[in-house]
Amino acid sequence: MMATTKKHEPADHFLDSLTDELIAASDDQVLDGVDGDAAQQTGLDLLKKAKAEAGRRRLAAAKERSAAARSRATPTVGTREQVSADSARAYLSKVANDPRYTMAARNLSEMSDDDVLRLYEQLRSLEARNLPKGSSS
Amino acid sequence: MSTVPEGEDQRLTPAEIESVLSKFSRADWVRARSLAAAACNGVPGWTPDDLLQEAMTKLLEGTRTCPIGVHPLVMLKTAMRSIASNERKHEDNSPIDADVAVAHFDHLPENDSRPLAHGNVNNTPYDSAAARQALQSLEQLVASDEELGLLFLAWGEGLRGQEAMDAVGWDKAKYEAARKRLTRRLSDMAAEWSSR
Repeated sequence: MMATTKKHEPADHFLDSLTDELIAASDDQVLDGVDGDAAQQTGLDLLKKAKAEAGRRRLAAAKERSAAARSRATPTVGTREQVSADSARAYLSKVANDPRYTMAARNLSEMSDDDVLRLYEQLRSLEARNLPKGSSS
Repeated sequence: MSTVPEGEDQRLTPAEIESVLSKFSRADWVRARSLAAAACNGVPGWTPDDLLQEAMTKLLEGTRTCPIGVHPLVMLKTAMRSIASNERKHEDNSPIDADVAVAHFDHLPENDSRPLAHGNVNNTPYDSAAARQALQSLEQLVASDEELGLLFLAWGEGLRGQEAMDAVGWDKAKYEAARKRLTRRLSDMAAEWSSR
């Protein structure tokens, strides 16, 4: 099978010629026998949808960038991605009796997963900064 | 036809592109949809309006840009051709037809009556495959009209205007009548697909 070169694709040339011919044609010629009002209405509807979708995609991209920035700023020890809420609860329950820490007398089972994980991250971050290596598990 | 605003920046901002598109006349939208019908040929599952909307979305999103001074229809054509080409390549690179069973061995379960095919890695250039696909669909569009077939061949060679007119040997009236039939056929195709 012969590979067609990039410089000579009839479909591309056709589209280029069609574009130039449409630009060269007068509005009357283009609109002759065609429902121009319907075409315009459809076009404007498509533009409206395109604008809405473009906004959604830009917002989604901004959220991804923001999440990536937050992820880079978060300490690498004990991130949420690496620890389950149950594991974090078990760890917090264990260190609650450690005299080196002062923890509010809260029932861990009543805390939300998010709160448990946040507390866990804070604790691990403190440990990473303040405690001698190997002093906690 | 709306004009692209002048500015010091080399590329239009999404807001400038939106401004240009929102000023399109009735004829401009007919032109744009005809281009979409031509560019969309051979893209499975896409209508011309889908392609036109996706092109505008990418331009307004900022993932596709347009240099200042480019005609808005050329801007749309370039975006649509790129999207359509990518979609055709994606289709070429997708698994074989879902109605065909792909097997490593020469047998299928007894209760599977689908035809058997072996998986095949296609190493031919995707660009060429996509272009052939588009060309075949466009050829079907003009198959029933000998004059349109001739015009299609001329435009496919990159000829246009007086040069194309001379090549096919028609006078201006005949050339413009054929051009109108072809663009009308594309416009009708876009309208028909959008009403499905």
